[in-house]
Amino acid sequence: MSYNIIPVSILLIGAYILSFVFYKRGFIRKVLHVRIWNILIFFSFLIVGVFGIILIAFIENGITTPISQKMLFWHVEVGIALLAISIFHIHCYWRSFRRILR
Amino acid sequence: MRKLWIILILIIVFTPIAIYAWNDCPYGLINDPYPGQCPRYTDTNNDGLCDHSQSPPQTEDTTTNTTETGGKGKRKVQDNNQTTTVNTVQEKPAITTNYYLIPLTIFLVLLYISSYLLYKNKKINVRTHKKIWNLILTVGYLATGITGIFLILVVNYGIQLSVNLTINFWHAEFAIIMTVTTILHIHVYWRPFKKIFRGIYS
Repeated sequence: MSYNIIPVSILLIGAYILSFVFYKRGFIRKVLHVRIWNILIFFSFLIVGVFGIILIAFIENGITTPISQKMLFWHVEVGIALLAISIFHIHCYWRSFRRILR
Repeated sequence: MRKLWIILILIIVFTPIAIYAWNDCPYGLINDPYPGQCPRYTDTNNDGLCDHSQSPPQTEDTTTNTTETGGKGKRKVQDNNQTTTVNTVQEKPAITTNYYLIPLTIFLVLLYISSYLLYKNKKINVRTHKKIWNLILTVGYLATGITGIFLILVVNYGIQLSVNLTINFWHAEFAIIMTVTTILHIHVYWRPFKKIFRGIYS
């Protein structure tokens, strides 16, 4: 089974560009643009983080369940999305982010 | 600084975490086909299935006189000088790897409490407190993301390298740091976080 790294990334980059263009052209407010991606990062983190921690706990204790492989699959798929959305999150908060590195 | 990076890379590359065995898939996969679903994929008998997801093969030597020799989980049948390989079902516990989930979580939480108390007692300012945790979070995300992408490429293209399991181990370690630090990040930015769901974010 292979993971859909390119389709998921392209889909999200397209959606982000669309949302960004909408905000730049004044169709939506910046608040809404940022909120959409904050909500998405929160839920994708929830899925990736929770599944990841459960999988680690299972492996540490030698537990195998019928849902482990499904959890691994979705952990990876949503993980790809989380990575892309994290980059968008940094883009949204670019000014604050630059200050961390200063 | 350069020396530190070299040492860090050497530690990551040479941490030995190689386990090759049969029927002990940590995800409970059965007959996982090439290229497998995780970086543990290994196929020593070249049948296109991950060894961890199947029972070990056994050799059957067959001659005219049928003889059976015992042994734990091993069966040898002799008939017509032919040799075939069969799989037998063997129950084996799944691979266990210690990812230090609880110690690492406790360590990070204690570190956060220390930083928070220092800020509350005005030993450090709020910017330093936020900067420390934003930096840890960024490093956690970067390391988890890069190792994650590497592991996806390993799985998707069936790349078998000696460092696969080592990278998998460090992916889990950085992911624990990332997950715990994200929760702490939400605590740092609790007010704006609440507003996301309230609809009055500005």
